[in-house]
Formats: sequence, C-alpha cells, structure tokens
Amino acid sequence: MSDAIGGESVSEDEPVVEVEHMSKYFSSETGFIASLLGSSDVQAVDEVSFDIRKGETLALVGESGCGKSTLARAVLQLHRPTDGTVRFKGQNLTDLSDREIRPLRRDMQMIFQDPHSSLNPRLKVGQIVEEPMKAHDLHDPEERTRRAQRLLEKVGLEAEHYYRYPHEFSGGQRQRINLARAFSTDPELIMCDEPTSALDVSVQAQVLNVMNELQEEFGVTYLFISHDMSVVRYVADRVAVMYLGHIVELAEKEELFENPQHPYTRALLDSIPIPDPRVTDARGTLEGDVPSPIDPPSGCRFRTRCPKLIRPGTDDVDRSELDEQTAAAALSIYEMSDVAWENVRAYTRAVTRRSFALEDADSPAAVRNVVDERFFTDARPGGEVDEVLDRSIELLADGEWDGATDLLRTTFEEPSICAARKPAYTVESEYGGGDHYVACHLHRGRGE
Amino acid sequence: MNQNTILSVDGLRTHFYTEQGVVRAVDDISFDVRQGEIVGIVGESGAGKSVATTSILRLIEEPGEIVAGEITYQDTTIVGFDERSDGTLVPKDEMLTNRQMRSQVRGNEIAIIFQDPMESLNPVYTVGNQLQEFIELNRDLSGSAAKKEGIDVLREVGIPEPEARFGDYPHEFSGGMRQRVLIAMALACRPNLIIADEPTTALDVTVEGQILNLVSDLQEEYGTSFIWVTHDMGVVAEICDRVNVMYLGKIVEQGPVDEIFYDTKHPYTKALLESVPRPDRTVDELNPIVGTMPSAIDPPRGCRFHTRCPDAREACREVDPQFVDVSETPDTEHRTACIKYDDVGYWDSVPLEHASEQDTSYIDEDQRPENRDLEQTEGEP
Amino acid sequence: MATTEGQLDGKDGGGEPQIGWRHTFQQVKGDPTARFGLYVIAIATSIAVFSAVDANLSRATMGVYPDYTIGEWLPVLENPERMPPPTEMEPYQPPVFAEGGSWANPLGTDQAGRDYLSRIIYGARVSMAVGFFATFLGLTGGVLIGAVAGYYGGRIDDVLMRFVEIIYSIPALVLVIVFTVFVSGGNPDVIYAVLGVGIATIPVFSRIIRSRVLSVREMDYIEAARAAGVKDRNIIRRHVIPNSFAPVLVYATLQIGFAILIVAGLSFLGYGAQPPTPDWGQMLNHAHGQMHVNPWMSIWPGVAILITIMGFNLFGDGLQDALDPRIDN
Repeated sequence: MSDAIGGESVSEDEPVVEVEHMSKYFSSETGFIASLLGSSDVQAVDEVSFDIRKGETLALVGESGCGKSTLARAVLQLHRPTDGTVRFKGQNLTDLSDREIRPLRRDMQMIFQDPHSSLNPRLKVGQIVEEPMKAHDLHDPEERTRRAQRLLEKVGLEAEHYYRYPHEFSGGQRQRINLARAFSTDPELIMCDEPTSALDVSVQAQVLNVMNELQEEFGVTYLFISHDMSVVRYVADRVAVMYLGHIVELAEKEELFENPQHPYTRALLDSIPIPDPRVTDARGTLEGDVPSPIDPPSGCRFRTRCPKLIRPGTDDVDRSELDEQTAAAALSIYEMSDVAWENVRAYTRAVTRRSFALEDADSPAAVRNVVDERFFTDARPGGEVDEVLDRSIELLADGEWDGATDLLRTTFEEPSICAARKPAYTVESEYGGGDHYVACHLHRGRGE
Repeated sequence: MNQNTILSVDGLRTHFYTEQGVVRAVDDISFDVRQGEIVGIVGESGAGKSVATTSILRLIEEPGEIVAGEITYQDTTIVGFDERSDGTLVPKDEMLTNRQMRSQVRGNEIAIIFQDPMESLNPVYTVGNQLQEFIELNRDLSGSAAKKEGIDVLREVGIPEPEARFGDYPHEFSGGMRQRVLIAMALACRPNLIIADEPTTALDVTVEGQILNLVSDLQEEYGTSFIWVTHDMGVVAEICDRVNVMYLGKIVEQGPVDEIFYDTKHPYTKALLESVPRPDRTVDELNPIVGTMPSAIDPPRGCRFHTRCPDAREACREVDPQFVDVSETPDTEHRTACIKYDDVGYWDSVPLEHASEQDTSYIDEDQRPENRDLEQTEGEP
Repeated sequence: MATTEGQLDGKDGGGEPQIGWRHTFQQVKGDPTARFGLYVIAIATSIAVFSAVDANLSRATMGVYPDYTIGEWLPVLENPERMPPPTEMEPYQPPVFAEGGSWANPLGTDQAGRDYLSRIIYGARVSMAVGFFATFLGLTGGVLIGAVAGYYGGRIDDVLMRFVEIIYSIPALVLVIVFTVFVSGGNPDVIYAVLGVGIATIPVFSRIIRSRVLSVREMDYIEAARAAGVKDRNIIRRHVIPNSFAPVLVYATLQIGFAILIVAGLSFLGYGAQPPTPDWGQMLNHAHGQMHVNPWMSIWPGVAILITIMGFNLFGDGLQDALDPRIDN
C-alpha cells in the first residue's frame, strides 16, 4: 500500500461499490389515505457519495436514526434508492429490476445485529447455511452439505451442529452461524449491520476475530455498520461518519480517530467513555436532541447543535443566497468578539430549548438581568447585535418565547454560511495517504 | 466496615426456583456503599448484576427468593435471617415489612433507575402526571406544590420546555429524554442512594455522555450515592469510585477503580479488560475470553471461572476461592476471589488443558502467597 | 435455558419463543385437559374412519339392510346367550334402558326403524369430514391470502384485504344457499355446506395470519433471505408461513368444532347432508318434531355434537397455552 497514492489504479483500490448522490426518502405516513393526501417525506439519506474498495472494511458510524442502516440497505437495493446511482462491480444497480438483481445477490450478503431474530427458529442450522447456495443453484446437494459443514468449522463451530436448531446456541454462536450463511456463496461484499452490538464484550471479541480471519482468507469486502466507535477502530480500514442522513466525514481510520475534522465527529469521539480511569475525560458532550429528519436543518444538518456554528456576516455568503425572510432579518454587520458570539449562540439555543426559567422576572430589565447573569457574564456584543438581544428580551418579558426564538434564529443562525450552503470539502490527511472528506464549512478555502 | 457506609450487603444469596433447577443467580456476595460515592457492579449478561440490585430493594419476584444474607441500610435491616436450632433460616424480627419497605425505603431513601425507560413509565398517563403522583406520594406535598417541584426537577435534569413537556406522554420523548425523566423521578424525592441498572446502555454515546455529565453534576450538588450496574468498562472507568466485578453470581474482585484497571488481580477482570476494543488507540488483536458463560443452574465446581480461565490449574476445579485481601495499602480494600493469592496449592498444581499458555508474570513475586504474610489470607494453612 | 439466564439479567432475547413443534407437542401431552381433548378427537376420528370401512354398517344406517344392527355385537361380547334375533324395522323404538327397549337397538330406532346407534356412529363420519374439509378450505385460502397480503403489504395488501372484507360481510348461510341454488340448481348437498362454511371462514384465517406475518416480516431472517437472493415465493413458503402458523393452528382446531356445529345447523335446516345419509344435524331435524314423544331422539345427536366439539375446544385451548410464550411450563 506504500506508493498507491496517485498511482494508476492499484487492483486493491478498485471500487467494488460506487455510490453517487444517492438519496432515500420514506413517506412519513403509510396507507391508502395518506398516499392520496400526500405526506411529507422523511429524508433518511440525502445525497451521499462514496465508494467501497475491494477487500477493505468501510465502517459506517453514527447514532441511532442517522440513516446508516437505511444507507447500507439502499446500497444493497433492499430499499430502492429514491435518487442517485449505485454501481456494484461497474454495474448500475439502480437501473435493474428486482428480478435482474437477484442473481447478483450471490455476491453481496448480509449479517444482522440480532442473533435471535436473524435465524429462522424452525429450520436446522444446515438448512439455514445452505439457503443462499440453494437460492442461486450452486453445487449439488451433497456438495452443499459438505460446504456448509466446512464453513461451520471455519467460523469456530462443529460440523455436527449442522443438524441442530438455532435455539440450542448462544448469541455468539448464532452470529457465527450468520457468518457461515453469509460466506456460503463466496460473496464479494458483506454488509454487517451492527453484528456484535447485541453480544457481551468477551464474545464480541471472539466474533470480531473470526470476521477478521474470514476476511483475510476470502478477501471479502465488508461494509460495517456500527454505533460503537471502539469496535470501528478495531475492524475498519476507512470510516464514514453519518449525521441525520448526511455523511459528515470520511477518512482512513487512523486519520479519522487521530485527526477528526468535523465538530460532530469530535463530539462523538469525546463522548465515548474510555476504559481507563486515569484518562480524565471532559466528556465534551453535545446539547439537545437530533432534529427530525422530516424537516431537517438547511445547509449543514449539524448546525443546530454545532459548538462551532460560524458567525454570520462573514463574506462567504451572498445576501442573494438567503431566502427573503432571512435576508430581511440579517444584520448588515455582525461585529463581536468570538467569546461574545459564543454567548449569543448559547443564548439563542437556550431560548429555543427554553432551558432556563424566568421565575419572577416580568419586566424587560429584570429579564435582562437574568439573561446577562446567565449568558453574558464575560463578554457581550454591542451595536446592532445588542439591539436584537434587547428586542428578544422584551419578547421574553411578554412571555413570547416562540417570537423570541424566531427572532434570534433568523438573525443569528439562518444567515450563517452553515445554514445557507451544504458543505463538502476534501482536506489533506495527516495520517496515511488517503482522501479526507469533511462536510464542514470551517474548512472552506482549504479545499474544494 | 467504614464509618460512612450507608449500605452493606453481606453474604447475599438470591436463587430462582425454575423447573430446570435452582438458578443461583446471586450466590454469596458482599459489598458496601459509602456516602457520596459511586459503586460499580460490572459483569457480562448472566452475571447476576441486576438480581443483586433488585434484591437490595426486595423487588425479587416469583420464582426468585432471597435465601440468605444480610442487607443493612443505615440502621435498618432490609434483609436479615436468624438461624433456628434446626438449621433453617427465618427472617429476623427487625427486618422491615413489605409495607415499611414501600413507605420508608423505596423511592425516598433508595431509588432505582432501569435500563428501559419505556417500561418504567406508564404509556397511558402523562409524564407530569406520573411525576406529580410520585412526588405527592413520597414527599407529602399538595397537588400544585408537587407539580411545581416536578417541573423544577425536569428542568434540573435538562428537559427543554419543562412546563410544556410536563403534559406530554412518554412516547413523545426521545430515549435520552425519557431516561432524564426517570432520573428526575428518582431525584424528586431526594433519595440518599440511587441504584442505576444499566441506565445508559440503550442510549447513544452522545446522549450517554450527557447523562453521565448530569449524574456527576447532581452527585456533586446533593452528595447522593449511586450503585451503577453496567457491562461497559468505559462507563466504570468514567464515573465509578469503587468497583465490584461479578461473574456467574459471584463477586470475583472488588476495589478502587484505579486498582481494578491498573493493578488487576483476578484473571476474569484481566480478560474482560483485554477483550474490550479501545476507542483511544488502535489495537491489533483482541484477546477474547474463550467459550461462553456456563449456566447458573449447574455452575462449575471450584472456581466458577475455571472453565474459561487462561490461568486455570487443577486446584481451581476443587477449591472454592475465598475473598483474599490484596490491598497494597491498608485503606484501599482491594479483594479478589482467586486461589492464586491464597495458599491452597495453586502454584503446585498442573495447568488445565485449555490454559496451557499461561502468563502469570503480571502477578508480582511478592503477591504470591508463599512470599506473603499468611495472616492476611483466609485459606487453610 | 437461555431465556432463564436472559430474564435474570434483565436482557431478554426477544419475545419470540425459540421452540419447535416437538416442544409444543410435549407441552400438549403434559396438559391433562388438552390430552383429554386429543383423546376425544382421536376416538371421533377413528370411529368416522372405521365406520366407513364396514359396508354392512353403512348399508344398515341407510336402511337398505335392515337385518343388521350394531346392537347385535355389543351384548355378544359380554353374554353370547343374549344374542337377539334379527328384528323387523320398527320405527321409534326407545333406547335399551327405557321401557320397551332392547339390546338389538341400544339407542332405539328412528322414524324409519333404522338403528339409532349405527346412525350416530355413521354420522360422525359426515360431521368429522365436514369439520375437517370446511376448516381446511378456510385455512388454505386464508393462509395464502393473509400471508401474501401481509408479506407484500401496500397495494396488494389493500386489494386482498378489501376482497376478504367483502367475503366477511356475507353470512355463511347465504353463501351455502347461493352455492346450492346456482351450482347445483337447487339440490342441496353437504358439499355445498362445506364450501359455504369453508369460504366464510377464509376472512378470519387470513386476518389472523396476516397480523402474525406483519411481525414475522420484520424479522431479520426474512431480510437475510431477501438479501441472499431467495425468491419471494420460497421466502413465504419456508420462512413466513411456518413462523406465522401457530395461532392459525390454534384457531383451526377450534374452528373444526365450530364448522361441525354450523353444518349440523345447516343440515337441520335442510341444506346439509341429505337423507338417507345420516348426519347429526339432520337427525336433530327429524327428531325435533318428536321431542315430546321420543325425547331421546333429540338427545343422542346433541350429545354426540357436544362431545366432539368439546374435544376440539379442549385441545385447541391446550395448544394455545403450549404455543403461548408467556405460559411456559
């Protein structure tokens, strides 16, 4: 892998899967009536592009609801993408019908999270492992049996287990059966959906090791979905971090963990409890909840919680890019110190979330006191910005929290470049040679 | 026993009488909790962690039963037995009645937070309704005062728009918010001890981080003690002061968190730590523990871990390991149940087959019993 | 075992009972009530089967061969001397324990002088066949429709379930009359009763299996099969139906009893088995006019129906318990 960078395509780097601008929307309501009335879509995955190289493990990480499972299933065409293309070994899957895709499934298999529901309880282990071979008419019955038994041995079970039922096995052993099934057709790509998150740590390690051994032996490519950064750090070659349907960062493992560039990736890494009491972790955690994917924030979807939201009024955004309402609310200049901006941001979010109480303060002056004491102790903006703050305080004094929220957000959040444009930049890696994709406007000017 | 000890569990045994046999879910465990500290109980599924904590609140249900041991909370006896002349155990007279447990202990002295907040909240009542009722019941406040208190507590645990959310139903909250509601409920009655049973396991890491922060803050403010049940060594390292490591119904090692990680004594604890992937550095190879946890119905004889232990020897099959004090200094109270540290013939016996490649170098020479002051150990001479 | 450990640690492996049919059978065997039901069903079934084999009995019950009665054989076993002489066909004979009764016709004779016990026994054949076939028809149709609707969902589900609702809105009796009138041109026959009752039960079966399929469909092994490239047809056959079948099976056992009852009712009204074929419902029909004179004639078929249906219900209840994951003995 030493001088693979920039050279003519090295066979190992050949993409098995190429995904371009793929989106997957679900209708948020189902049923006959809803289909007539029309309903808003859940933007589970929105315009993602990446590729998976032969023989590598690409990990897709993110928290629940970020769209990682949907993305993986859309790649395998288990959910048909709404938009965009998915190429598998050069063939555009999105053009093919279900019937045409079925033979290709031989080369792309899947492993599941729940060891209990992923095996049909009424079939014997042997029947389960043989099923994919049978579906693709591979080998004759005796050869299938032989192969199934050999695979069971390969994953650390015994050939005799062929005749047992799944309920006779523990969770870890069932995941091994899952592995044997996935490998039975000798596939090119295996999508692993949180394969170890239902297992105890000691058993998790067993399964991860078996997966590694099998990859070495068969040269298979893994698309590994997980919410567990520790597991990802152990198994992955490259890592894609997802947030609310977008890939926010994609880089080689070492680079991503040692040199994370997206504020969300940093927050994610910071919140993992490290099994070492001497590492005093700040747990620099995020505020608030993930917004709804039905009406996600414009631009960068992380901006509503981002600790680094860019101050509006910088020259990057042209006023014509903003919608009318925002343009009207936007100030001509946003001059303030960085600390003051941080305070404004915190205040805006606190009002949005109503995370403080005004107890007995009912006059604007009293509210101002509470607000100043809570948010603007060290630095306070002046000029036009302060006038907006005053107006918001008057609204708060009248109990108009919604009005104050609107005012603050249209003035301080919407005109930011983070809200106006969807970020996509490539920066240079510090660790390893690969590309480092990061969807954050903090990197504007450093790449494209 | 320490002066600040508020809860002590001594020789607790909780068994389940099932048709397949007696499940010895908790089999003779002892630990204590002091004022203002977070005590961890860590282990894999099937270790008996949850049974241990539900026993403390006497919430064990049929077919389970607390069959022996003593649980003392401050000066009250939660569980205690007297031995009759014929050898049978009968509950002590001073043991709290079920009614007393309900009115005096649960909720207002010791509160519990479960892993799945959806199961702990009734879906047909609003969150506020449940919180208010709970406060009225336990703190003797009138309706409106209880409501105000409820809203304050919700705000305290970081629920946005608490006044508005007060009237929402549990399903309208996200998982993290629901867990906050449960923490609010636990806190509402200002308990002295909170038992948290895997409260963050079902949550995303960033939410888990928020909850851990919240707990640290609250603990600082009120000095509440916690028993934190988890399988995650990361969480243990993050928040616990002292740790009990459980395996198959037994505590195999207990001590201060730093010693558990940096001066690991029991092979199980060591194996557990080595099998965890690290978020902070890339490891090339994980060392899983071989095999699976045996059934608690018919646990292995001798040391219960010997079937999977990399250091197991013949003697481990025979000798039931006793707690041995392995503290470096008198005040650390580091104990482990492994016969390596006891003088019962471990070092003279033959390694078991599965444990042929043994690395015992991590045990200091002076820790070996033959080199130690034998008065400290409890084993046979 | 795995469940025990799981429960103890608060982590459960999911509500799905990981059991095979063998386990279910063991449980049914261990439940005395269900076992009793099973015995009743077994006896009724074997009577039905063997009565068909004995040609004499068959003819006797039709009234073709009057000299033969089953009563001849019963006392012989105890006391050969008491073998009665062949009797004339005498209508309205009382049962043996009533005044004027004889061992020749232990339960008496009917309006045509045919032996009542033989007819009751032979009637089991019709009833059991009706129960099984009507239920089988409803079950097959219902399972196919329900499984397909539940598995595919969407438009297919909508269309199939609306179709099923239409069937649901037509009473069984109307269906039977429609078949009788339009298919046979007005000659009632038990076959139309079976068809009508069978089709009328399709909606219930399809609803039961559909609701099960909706949850089974979400199981990972279904997605695993799809991801592996297994054809939908095979997924439904190998994965969906076997795992959705348990509640249907319970309902089917109860339904057999119910179908017997309905067809008996239809026969009573004249839409079931036609004379001279003996059938419990039809026998009741003939008997009800004699209620005051010969009450026994109404009681025997009633008792036969009661016992049979009770057998199916007891077995069905036991099966339900055995398949219910919450009741695990």
